Amino acid sequence: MLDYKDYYMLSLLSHSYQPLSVDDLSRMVGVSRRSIYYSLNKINDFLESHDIPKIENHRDEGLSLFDDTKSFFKYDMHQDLSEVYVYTQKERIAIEIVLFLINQKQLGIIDFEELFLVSRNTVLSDMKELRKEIIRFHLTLEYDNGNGYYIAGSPIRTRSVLLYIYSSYTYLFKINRFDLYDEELVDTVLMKFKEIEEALSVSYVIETKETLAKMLATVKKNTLNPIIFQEEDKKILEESLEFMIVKQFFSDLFDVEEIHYITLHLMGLRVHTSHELESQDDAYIKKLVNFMVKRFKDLTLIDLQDEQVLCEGLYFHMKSALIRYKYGIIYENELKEDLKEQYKAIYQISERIAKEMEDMIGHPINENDIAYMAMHFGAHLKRERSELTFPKVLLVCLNGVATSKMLRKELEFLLEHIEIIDAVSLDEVEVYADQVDYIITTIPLDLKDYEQKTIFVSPLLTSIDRDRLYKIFNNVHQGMEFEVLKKNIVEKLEKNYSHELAKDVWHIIEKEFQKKSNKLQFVRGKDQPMLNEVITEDKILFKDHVKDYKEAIYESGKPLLDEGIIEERYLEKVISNIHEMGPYIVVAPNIAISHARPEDGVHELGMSMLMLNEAVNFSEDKDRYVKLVVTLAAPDEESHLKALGQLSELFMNSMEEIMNCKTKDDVLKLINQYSI
Amino acid sequence: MKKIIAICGSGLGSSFMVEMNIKNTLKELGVAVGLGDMEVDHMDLGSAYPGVADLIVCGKDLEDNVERFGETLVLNNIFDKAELKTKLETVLKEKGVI
Repeated sequence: MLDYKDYYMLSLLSHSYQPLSVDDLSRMVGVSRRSIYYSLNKINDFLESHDIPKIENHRDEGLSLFDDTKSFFKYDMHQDLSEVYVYTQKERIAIEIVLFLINQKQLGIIDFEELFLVSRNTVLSDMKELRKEIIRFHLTLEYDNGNGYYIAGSPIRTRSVLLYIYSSYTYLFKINRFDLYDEELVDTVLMKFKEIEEALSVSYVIETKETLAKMLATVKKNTLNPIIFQEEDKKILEESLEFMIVKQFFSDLFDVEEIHYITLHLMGLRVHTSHELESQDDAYIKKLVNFMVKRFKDLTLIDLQDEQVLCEGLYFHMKSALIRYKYGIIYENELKEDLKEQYKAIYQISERIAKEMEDMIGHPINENDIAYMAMHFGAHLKRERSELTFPKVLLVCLNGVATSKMLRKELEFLLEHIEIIDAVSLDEVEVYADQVDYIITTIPLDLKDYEQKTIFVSPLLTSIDRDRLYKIFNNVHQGMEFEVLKKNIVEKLEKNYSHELAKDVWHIIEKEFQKKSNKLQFVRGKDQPMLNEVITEDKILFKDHVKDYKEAIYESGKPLLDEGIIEERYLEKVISNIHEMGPYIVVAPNIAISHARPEDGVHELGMSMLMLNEAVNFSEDKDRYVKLVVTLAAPDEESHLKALGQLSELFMNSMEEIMNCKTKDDVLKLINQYSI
Repeated sequence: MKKIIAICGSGLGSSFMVEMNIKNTLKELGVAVGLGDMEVDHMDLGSAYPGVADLIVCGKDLEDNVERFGETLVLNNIFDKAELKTKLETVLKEKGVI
């Protein structure tokens, strides 16, 4: 599946008369060079599978498309991006927040349904997530009866979040699809920035300029409320070098409040050389720094030697960072991509600490700043010569593909502190075995040399597996002590009190420990809708007869197909599975559950139901007659389980009733009965 | 006998239903389920391998595909509790579990 970035990159290439270099594209799309290469491979695979000439890469010149390819894309790409492309929930929410924040008009569920071509339920789920996301930044989603939703909050928060989204999702807002700003004004502002750069003899990072220009044009077009600065802040701004120049160039376009705002951002861009813009709240900064260092120690289990040095570094960083967070000032970190790559583990941990800090300070922290945090931690560890590495893990399964992919997802969720090197089949194990710390396998390995580091699990982790893995990886440090402690307590109790008491205490401890590892499983079980939330009225169909089982499968899946919950290839896969493995989806006389796997073209959770008056045979040589076809679309391994469990209860206990249903209401009544 | 696995084509749908039913049936038969007792799980055909469990439960149209992985219990109707109970009881008695 091509994503938005890929499409955007294709549209740039198809509209360009000259070859574009990877650097050009990286700048224009607003992502790293690495992701450009990654996109390039994806696009070429896509082109190849459609028998269209691939993207050409001329050394020294850059990338270009053949004319054939160009004409193929030129026609529909730009305008039809919306129709071709399915936004991810994260992307939708980013766009939704922006549309709310610019507040052109209040928006209802239906507006988003049309904009993204998704279902009402999808939009409702977006709103739920969005609410959670913005509340951290002290913004709230309000509902005005009759008029729809809007976001309420102070201009400072509004703008910092808007700027944060503009800079984090650059590619989504490259094409002015949502009419957020006047493109001409963006160009004008950019020209003025250029003149300011000359006047001050500085140069700003181009991405920052573009984001800022877009932000200012958005402010202007939508007349966003200005930030009113406090007197002392105003004084600092007006005394700065930038203020006079900004005033000179921007007075014709913006009011004095915006002149302050622009000044603030330009000052922010040289913040590491100036001390004018710094938070003075020492106690608060120290509190934050202590929090960061403590969390870092908790998460890495590293005992820092020279903690004071690290604290000082972070203290000076936070002094200026706090102001940046508050106003959403962008702060480019050119090493960001390298840091992410080289200090992967530290970056991940910094990211997590930053998330926790966002909740404390109520402002978003962007990737650039996270990278700076990672630099501080990374540099400090280097100084101490202690290395932070996650245990390296190799996955092994029968064919090295399907199972391990699932397993990988599950492991990454379960264990935060591991690095999965690769997933391989049995034959390739020895190639990697020496380089890894652990081998997690779903098939018994007969390799004596690696016995010590081999962990044998079931492909779908059982609770025993989870428990064991959790103990091995997460409690390596505390695990042993815990066992010893437990033993000592129980022995003492037994000696001084009674055997019974000791036994009871033992049970309590075991239970509490169990709870701790079960907690992980609860997280996994979140958001499982009930049967009546999945099978709604529009998902139930009645039909007198169909000509064969293929038609039955298509008819039954049609509501899901129409809503974009599944792709057509999902139903094709069901049919080809039947060819290969037989009519196994006929799970009981008269009942078929038509389904394939998440990766066969499922976008979200859905179920639909076809009731036939005349039974149809699902097999050519056996009697596999079916009157009720349920199409199940599961986007992952978990989210459908509650609904499916309820459906299963229904079939077990009310088989006759469901087969005798004549109307949608009859069916819904039964469904509701089991949705508890 | 320690482990029972329900298998279906995709590992998402019917095998999960069967897993639930097996667990309930085991409880009715007085067999403890879970950690250190009888383990019950579900998976897809592609993830299975010989010796994956002591007993594999599947719907009748997967029988030919599943047999090679070990002892198999085949269900005509995966929603029929009586069928499951009778067949499971027989196997468990044979193995001396109950």
